[in-house]
Amino acid sequence: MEKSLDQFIGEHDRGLYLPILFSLLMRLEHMVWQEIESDAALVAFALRNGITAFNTNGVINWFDTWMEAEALGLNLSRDKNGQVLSVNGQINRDVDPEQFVKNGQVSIAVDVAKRLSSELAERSVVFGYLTGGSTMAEKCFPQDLKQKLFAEDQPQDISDDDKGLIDLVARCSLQMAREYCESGATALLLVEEIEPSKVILDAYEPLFNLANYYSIPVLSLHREPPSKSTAAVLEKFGCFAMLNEKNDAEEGNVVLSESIFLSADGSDAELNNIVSNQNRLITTYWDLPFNSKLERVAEIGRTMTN
Amino acid sequence: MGRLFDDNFYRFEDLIYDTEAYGPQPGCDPELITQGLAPVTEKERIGAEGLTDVEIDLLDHKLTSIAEEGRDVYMNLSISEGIITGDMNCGIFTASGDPCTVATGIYFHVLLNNAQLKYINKYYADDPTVGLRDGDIFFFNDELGGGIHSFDMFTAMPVFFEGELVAWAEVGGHQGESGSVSPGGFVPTATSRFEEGLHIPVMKIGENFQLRQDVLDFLCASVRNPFILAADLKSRLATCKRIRDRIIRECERRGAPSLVGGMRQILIRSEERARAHLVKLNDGIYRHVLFNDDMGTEEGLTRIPTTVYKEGDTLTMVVQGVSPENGKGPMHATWHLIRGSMGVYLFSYFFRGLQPNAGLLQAVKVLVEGPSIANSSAHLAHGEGTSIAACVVQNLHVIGSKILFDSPYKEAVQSPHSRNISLYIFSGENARGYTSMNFTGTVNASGQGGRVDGDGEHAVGFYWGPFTDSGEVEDIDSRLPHTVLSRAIGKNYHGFGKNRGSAPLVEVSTSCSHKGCLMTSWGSADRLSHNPGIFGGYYGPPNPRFVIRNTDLMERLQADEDLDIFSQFDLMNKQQLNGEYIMESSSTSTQQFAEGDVFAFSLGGGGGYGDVLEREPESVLEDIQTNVLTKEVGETVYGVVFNSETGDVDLKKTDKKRASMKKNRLKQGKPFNEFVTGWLKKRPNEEIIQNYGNYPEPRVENYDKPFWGMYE
Repeated sequence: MEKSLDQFIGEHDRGLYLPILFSLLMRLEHMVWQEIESDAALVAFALRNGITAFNTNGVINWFDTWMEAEALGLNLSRDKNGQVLSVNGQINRDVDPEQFVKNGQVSIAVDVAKRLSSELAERSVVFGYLTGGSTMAEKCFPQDLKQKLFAEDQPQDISDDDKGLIDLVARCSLQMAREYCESGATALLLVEEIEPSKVILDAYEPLFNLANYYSIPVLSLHREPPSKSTAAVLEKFGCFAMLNEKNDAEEGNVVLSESIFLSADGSDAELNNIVSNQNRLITTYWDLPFNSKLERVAEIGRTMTN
Repeated sequence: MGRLFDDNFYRFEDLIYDTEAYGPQPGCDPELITQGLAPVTEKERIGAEGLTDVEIDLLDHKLTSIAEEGRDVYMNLSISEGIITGDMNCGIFTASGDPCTVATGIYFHVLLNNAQLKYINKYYADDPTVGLRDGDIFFFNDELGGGIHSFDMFTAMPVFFEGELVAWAEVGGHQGESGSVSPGGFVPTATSRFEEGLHIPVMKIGENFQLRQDVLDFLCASVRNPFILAADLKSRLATCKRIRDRIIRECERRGAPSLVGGMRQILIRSEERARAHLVKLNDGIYRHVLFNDDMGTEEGLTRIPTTVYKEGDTLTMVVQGVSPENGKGPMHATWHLIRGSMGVYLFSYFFRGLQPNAGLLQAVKVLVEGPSIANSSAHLAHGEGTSIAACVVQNLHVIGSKILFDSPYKEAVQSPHSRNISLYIFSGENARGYTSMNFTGTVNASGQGGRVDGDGEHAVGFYWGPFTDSGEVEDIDSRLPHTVLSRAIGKNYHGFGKNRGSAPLVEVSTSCSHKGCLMTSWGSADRLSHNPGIFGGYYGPPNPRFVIRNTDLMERLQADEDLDIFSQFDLMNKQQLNGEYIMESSSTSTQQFAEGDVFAFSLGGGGGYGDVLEREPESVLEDIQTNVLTKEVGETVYGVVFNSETGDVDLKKTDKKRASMKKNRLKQGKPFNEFVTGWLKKRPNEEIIQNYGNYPEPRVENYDKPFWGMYE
């Protein structure tokens, strides 16, 4: 039986430590992008190695904000580390969401989550990665639609065609979320590189409903702190917003989050202070770059768990 | 050997100590079994040159990750009850066949799978009718060839890189059914090993990463549950292949010489660390003895003592003064089983924190007197040799606690984990419609012993594998042919003490379909517990077989009656069910059970640590409130007085009562010599010591020394 995120968080007398190490762990396993997007078993192996190598409490199955856009039809050229060098083509508006999860790295990401959930069972948390709809829109929607969606004022004149596109993206994310929930993931991680569009966020309501149905929390990770209005929408969905600034909210049933800045000069005392709060989920601002200093990451892991 | 050993160890000339009681057999070379680590090869020596500690650390971590991934994959792919819940292992072995990295499950599975690989290297690799090539798959389960018992089955695959053998991948565990006389592999009354089913010392079962269909057919035709055996064999093959692929990848990244040399260095480092650990402990001779109460076909007393000589950086473990082999059942162990079993205690407790592999055992010399029940002849049944080995391990728990008490490793001091085995093997058609036969994951929820720094943890794990899982009741219901009514922490079912031992999960179940089911039970400790307390703690209670036949359970459940039958304590004490209550020997042959018959099953509770009169009265109250203890025991054993109105502890009266209890104890005390003189005059009924050997010392007539194990 899977354990809930609350159970994991209450398990230790310290916060739950879950840094985002996807790129770093792929590098540690000497994996090139071609292997990453084709060998789910090896990706899962590389990710689970991070648990002991860096004393973490779990894994996040993937981290690539281009993943869904590529699976929707964009033609990407990448270097051996997966960095996107060029983007061509357009998304295919006829994609069937059920087929979408069987495409490219989406299918691998889902497979990785299934393997990790099954192998790690009750021992470690497994987060299922999802690129947020707004980030996807930014990467693959037509320019005129993007201008409307990300305008400061609420967009009024979205055509039925464009609504269909927004709906498609949301349904693809929903299908991925369903796969993660069925596989036994502990939580979903919804990642936004940009300030979300309210229209798109609203289109994601079914995804939050689905997660609620499975009693799986959705954590929203933002490259920049989300606006108050975005936070309010997320709260309405019952989402545990993952903030990028220290959160001094009262302890309660809500899972608080604490991002840490992994740097060479970060003091252990400061880390200890952060980690001592049992109700916190401690993560990084973003996926750590593949060329991060391994020794420092390992050292922080030891501090977090000692 | 050291001075303590040389001055005190007595060798009976007509008995053997440092090898098996049997000679070479087909597929079995006892010399290989007792060899210890193979000599360092030239490739290992060259490969290790220039490797830094950090590089060895990294390799160590990576191999552990590989083995652990293999473990998780195997547990997920398997459909055998034992494997799913962790009665299994994955190991990475050196090219010479020594276990280097372990993920388990069960430590001794790995420690006992070296001889078979060494046998392949020595006898089959260059034999043109067998050979050794990339993609080969080998199978073994024979206890004489180095294994445990026929129902623990293993698969190994050589790892070749650029044409050179660089390592072995090995996967296996408790498969269960082996084509034995009783379904499920366990034959409690077997007197010959040929009643225990399939014995394969080592056999190539596949090539080019594929199982041979004719061999698979042969194996499947040899057991009652071919579907499960085939599925599990394939899951083992998949896991071996996964481990093999990962090792190949490491060779590509690090170079094969670094891998080969690094693996050897991991073993050498383990031995060095074990010896450094031992040096910090007090030298001395340490003893403990346990008695078994059953042989399989009949009840009776046998003796299993253990003496440890701790000198400098070496432990010498001697199993001497053990009862002779009796041929009355399957409780006959082998030399290698005794040695491998030690890993369960040593790796989990004594050497905890050190990497568990064969290197640790290099610091331990093992002498097991034979022929005896601990080191027995080839033709006997050995299926339950684990019961004898377990007694040695329980002795080691007690001895280890004495050694560690005054040491930097005192935190590892604790009473033994429960091993009062009364194992029920259910057999029949399951809810999914296929034939299955096995025990349930409840076996993995026995009680821990009381610890130096606290109480034992309830339902902590399997005796042989602390890292096992007890599984989900719903899964048990679907995979086995009976239905679990409840699983609950047993009441009064642990060893009492200052820090109490802990209780097991007790499974209460019923045979529920119109077809009923078969059940075979296996074990001992029905009258004499194998779970000692230490430093004044009580033993965990004995654990006989308990079934109720011909009940009215189904009718009363259908009538929606509110019954107190969902714990062993209530079942036994309230006797609300009408039916035939049977408490008998755990070693009972296969019987048919009908719908509504009830079984109560557990592996018993761990022993206590320290004097019961030193237990915090509030902790006694908490145990009562949490349903682990009855008030009666709190009052009579722990000497706690409760306020009759509030139920709270009355500290003043408790102190007074305990002082009085201590006074009574002192009254019963005797001077040492007086006690020994009286003790040596005592003698059990002749009827129960027929297979004991001479009494009290099996190997010596008219023994009159104060303690057993002193011969000169």
